Amino acid sequence: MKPSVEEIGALLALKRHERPEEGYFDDFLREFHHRRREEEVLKSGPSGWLRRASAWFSNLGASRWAYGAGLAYATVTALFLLAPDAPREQPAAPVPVHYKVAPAEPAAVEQLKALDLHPSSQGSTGEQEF
Amino acid sequence: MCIWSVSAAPAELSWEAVFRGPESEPDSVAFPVGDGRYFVAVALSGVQIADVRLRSAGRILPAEVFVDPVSRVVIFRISGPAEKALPLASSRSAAAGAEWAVKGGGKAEAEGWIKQINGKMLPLSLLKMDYSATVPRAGTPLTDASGAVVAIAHQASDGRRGYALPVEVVKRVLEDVQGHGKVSRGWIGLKLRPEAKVPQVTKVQEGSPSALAGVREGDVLLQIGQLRTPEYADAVNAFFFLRPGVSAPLRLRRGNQELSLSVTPVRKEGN
Repeated sequence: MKPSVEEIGALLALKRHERPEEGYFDDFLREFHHRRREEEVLKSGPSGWLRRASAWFSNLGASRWAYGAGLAYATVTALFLLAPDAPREQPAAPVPVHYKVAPAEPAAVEQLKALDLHPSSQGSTGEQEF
Repeated sequence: MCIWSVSAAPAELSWEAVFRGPESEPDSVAFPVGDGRYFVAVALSGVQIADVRLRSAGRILPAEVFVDPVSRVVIFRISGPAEKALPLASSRSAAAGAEWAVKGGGKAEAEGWIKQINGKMLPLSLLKMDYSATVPRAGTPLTDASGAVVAIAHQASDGRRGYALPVEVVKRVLEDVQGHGKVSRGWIGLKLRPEAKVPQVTKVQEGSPSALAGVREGDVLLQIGQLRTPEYADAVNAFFFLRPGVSAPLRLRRGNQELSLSVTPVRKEGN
C-alpha cells in the first residue's frame, strides 16, 4: 500500500526534527579512518609496513614533529657512529734511535806563533805541532 | 826613517833599536850583554823587524842583526869596541810580589805569569808587571838587587802595568846567535791540542825524536827539559827552550805509570 501524501508529510516533519547525538560526525570520521588503516595493516609486504608506520606516525597528532626531529637526529648520529672509518695511514714502523751523550766540544783556542800582542793578531787552531 | 829622541832612553842606557816605519811605531831600548858586543832589544807589534838598526847618541852603529821570529827578540852584534855588558840572572823562580829595579829609575813588582792574552795562547810565557811610575820603554832591563837582568820590559797593558820578557828568553836566543850565528827552533814531532786542560799527546810523528824516545799517543807531558808542564800553555813555553841537538829530559804519565825519557830535538824544517 502506498503511503498517502499526508503520511509522507508527517514522516518528513518527524525526520526534520531528528538530530544525531553530539560528536556523532567526528566519531564517524575517526571510525572511518581507523577501519581503513586496519584494513591496510592486514596487507603484508614492505608497503604494508610502510603504511603501518605512516599510520602510527599520523596517530601521534601534534607531537609527531618532535618525534620526527628526534628520529632524524638519532638516525644521523647512528650513521655517523656506525659509518666505517676512513682508511688511516699506517704508522711507520718504529726505528730504533742510536745515540750517545758526548761532552760538548770545547771552544777553539788560538795558538799564536809569534809574540805579537796586537789585538788583531791571529793564531792557529786545532792540533799544534812541536 | 823616524827621528828618535835619545833623551827618552833611561839615563844609563844610550842605545836603542830603530825600526823603519811610521813615526808612531814603538822603538826599543837596547842594552849590551855577553862579551859587550851583543845588544838586546825587543820588537813590539806593528814594527818591521826585517829592517832594524842599532843607534847610539844619534848615530847608527854598524851591526849584524839576528831576529827570533817567535819571541821577536832582536840581537845586534857590533864589530867595534865592547861596551860594559849587563849580567843576566834568572827569572824562573820569580814569584808574585818579587820587586825589581827598572834600569834608569823606578821599581817594578811582578804580579805573576801570563800564558794567554785575549784567549790566545802565547808561544812563551810573559811576566805581568806593576810599575811604580809609568811603563818603561820596551827593552828596558829590569834588574835584581845585584844589578843582574831578570826581565825586559815589553808592551804596556793598562795604566802602569805592562808585560815583561823573562831573561831566559834572551839567553835562549843569545846562545843560538853566539853558537851558530842564527836562531833555530827545536822540533820533536808531537802534537797537542790547545783546548786540552793538560798537555796530552794527540799524535806522534813517525820517525820523529818523540817517536824515537818512546813517546806515544795519549801520554801526558809532566816535564819538558827543566820546566814542569801542568797545563798546555806550560808545555808550549817549555818547547820554546828546546834546542836542536841538545837532549832534554822528558817526564810523562802513561796510564798509571810515570816515565822518564830523553828526547833530542832536531832543527825544525824551514827554520
